[in-house]
Amino acid sequence: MSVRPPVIPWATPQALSDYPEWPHAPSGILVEGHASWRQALPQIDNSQCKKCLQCYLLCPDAAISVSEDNKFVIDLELCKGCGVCIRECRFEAIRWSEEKK
Amino acid sequence: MNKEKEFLSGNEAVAAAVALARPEVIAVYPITPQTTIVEKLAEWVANGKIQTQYLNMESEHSALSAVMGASAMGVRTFTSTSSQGLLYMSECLHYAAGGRFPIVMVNANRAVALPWSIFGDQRDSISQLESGWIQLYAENAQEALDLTLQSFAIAEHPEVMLPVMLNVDGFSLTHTYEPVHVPLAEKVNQFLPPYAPTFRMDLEHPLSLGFSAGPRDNTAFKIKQHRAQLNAEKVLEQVDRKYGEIIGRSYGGAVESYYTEDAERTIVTLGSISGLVRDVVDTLRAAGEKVGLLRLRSLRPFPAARIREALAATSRIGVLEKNVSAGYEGTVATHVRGALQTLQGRQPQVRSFTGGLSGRDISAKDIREIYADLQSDTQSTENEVHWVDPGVIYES
Amino acid sequence: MSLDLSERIAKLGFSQKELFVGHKACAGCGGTVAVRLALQTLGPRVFVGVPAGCMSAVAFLYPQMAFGVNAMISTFAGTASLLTGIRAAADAQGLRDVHVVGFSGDGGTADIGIQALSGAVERGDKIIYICYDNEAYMNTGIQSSGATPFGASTTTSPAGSVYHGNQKNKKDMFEIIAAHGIAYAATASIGYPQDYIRKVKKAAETDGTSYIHVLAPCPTGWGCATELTAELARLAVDTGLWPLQEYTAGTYAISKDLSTFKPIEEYLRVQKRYRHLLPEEIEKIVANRDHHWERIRNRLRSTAN
Repeated sequence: MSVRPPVIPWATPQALSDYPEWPHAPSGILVEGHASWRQALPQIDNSQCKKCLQCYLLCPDAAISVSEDNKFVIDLELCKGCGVCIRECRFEAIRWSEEKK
Repeated sequence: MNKEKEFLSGNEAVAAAVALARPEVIAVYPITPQTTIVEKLAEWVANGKIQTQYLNMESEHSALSAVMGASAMGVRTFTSTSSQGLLYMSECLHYAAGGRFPIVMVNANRAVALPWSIFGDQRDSISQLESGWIQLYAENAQEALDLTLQSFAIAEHPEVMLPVMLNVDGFSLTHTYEPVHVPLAEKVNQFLPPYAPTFRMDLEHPLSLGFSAGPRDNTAFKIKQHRAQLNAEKVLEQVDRKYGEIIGRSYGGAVESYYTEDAERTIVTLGSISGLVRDVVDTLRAAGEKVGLLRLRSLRPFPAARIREALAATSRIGVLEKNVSAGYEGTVATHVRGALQTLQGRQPQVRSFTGGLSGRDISAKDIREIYADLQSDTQSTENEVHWVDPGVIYES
Repeated sequence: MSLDLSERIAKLGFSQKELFVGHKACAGCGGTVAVRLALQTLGPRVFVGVPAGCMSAVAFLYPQMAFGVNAMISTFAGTASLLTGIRAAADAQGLRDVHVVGFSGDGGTADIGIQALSGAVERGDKIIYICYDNEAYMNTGIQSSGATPFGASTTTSPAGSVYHGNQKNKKDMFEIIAAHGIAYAATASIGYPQDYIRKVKKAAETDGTSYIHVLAPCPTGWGCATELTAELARLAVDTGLWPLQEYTAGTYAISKDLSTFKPIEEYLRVQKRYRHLLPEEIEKIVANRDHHWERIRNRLRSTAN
């Protein structure tokens, strides 16, 4: 349900004219995610989820969103692996996966 | 056309121009000798003569910060200050220029502490030459009014989009009453239509402003800012011509040359003292002396080519300014010398004269003495500042 | 009756679009939670001012722009004054139903920005000023601010053999702002997101200036595990160290009254910045807390009579 801008790789400007004439930029432009930051990835077991929304509200990276089939999913491009969602889930529905960088 | 002249002080003339320019947001903070501008505007707001968002701020830093926010929204803005206030704004000065916010600010030139002084000199604005603002200097109340209106047109020009600081000498201009022609609102509206921003924060197309740019991207933005300053010299002249066509007065752009064509000696100066220098030049010319006056109306952009052109015939130049860069010389003198560097074949001597600090009077006699100095063969030692009537016996 | 996930989120009244996403804040950053929750609550018709500091450093690095709304970095001291100008222009343009909101850290609020903030509150400008308090200058590398609590070790108030961390008490911004007679002020904690969201909504409905001071832990600066951000923000409330309060049109209220406090050791011991504290210093923190609550309760009692 939550919608975020897609990550679109940036074409590095070459000429002066590739830059805006005045220092302004459109808001909500993502040219890179932060997957490389994380040491481990949280995994959600939606069957254990009691929909308290705590993980969704407290994710610092807005990396928890609702899929089309109405389940929480972790955004692999944005999750930095801080573990707040795991700590905040009272129902143990989120755990570390085996992914290690 | 309104032929009637009003008897106005420099600050009242500025206020009249601001009212005619119709800024949507005015942010103010008091400081002598600027204050009577914003007091006049407050009176007109209180009585419904002008409609604007008039913001009483808690500091000069806040006043400029507020007009930056308003300018980012795409409205016309005005503020004014002096001296310590200008210095307190210094962070915001660089910010406004880097952000390309076309703010117009009048700076009532005043000495900078220490020692404290409320009286006029140009150390405040000249210390901020590197802030990225366009810096204009008016000679009298009429020009202060005209240049205030022109400043909006220059700042908001799409090829410029830079803030403009219009400098008016404290007290000698700000508080001196002169007959001033105030143009009619219809004429001003024709000269200065409502501001059409090239970019602004917009709900349909949200923008991020004031962002960071690292080593890869930062220089590109600074090159564009520099080019905008260079563009401003041409725009200044265009705007001045347009003003002349619609309002009926024009000044010739970034410099005013007076008898410079054949002048062997030229006094270069700026601001309100120019009037007296012109009078002395008239007297000396009447006596057959080949002397001229070059008045700088803009320090940023710095009109180097026009200065070179105007001083082509001159062999000795005296730069008279109410400023000194301790440890070197008058900053304007350094600039003029720099402009003459590329003169082919000859190198006229530039002598740095500093006077009028903290409102100290510069008399016609002082100016004649500057001319006498230029007539002599005395060579300046490096970094030598010639103090114009410093008020003390000058022991070297 | 059980609502599905999307219905529950819809009930929050959040913006469908994420309005603060893709920033480069440290893992577990509490400040970003404060910003995101406020923006999701306020929706896209906002103009944001953020001073030089963590939130601007992580969200405006050209060309990646993490704010999905109109946003501008202000000077460090100029958050509130920038907002004043934005609001004045919005008024001049006749823009209705828009919010002008600032997010400044504790240094930008309690120290260098307090002059501009005080001016805006005194004028009653219709802005929402949110201070995300991580109790030190984190962007520059954990230096002591006016909002650093007693005893906390920072790089400019280190725990040495003579001085044990910060020797002064935390400046009480809530009281300072309330003393202006502001339209609405509140303290909040990201550990209690629903309470914080309610306060942001209240600020949005307030005619006049609103100030929300939200505790937002910084794992990097506090020296704790990244996963503890929200838990520590909750513990600060539950131990009584960070009372949740409101001031609405002259009336004070406690949002979460506590009959007992959790032991403060639970809060202190997981943070490296407090690890050096001696028992008597911990006692002083407890005494300060008790005195603070006494003042709050006395005031409520006297106004109730």
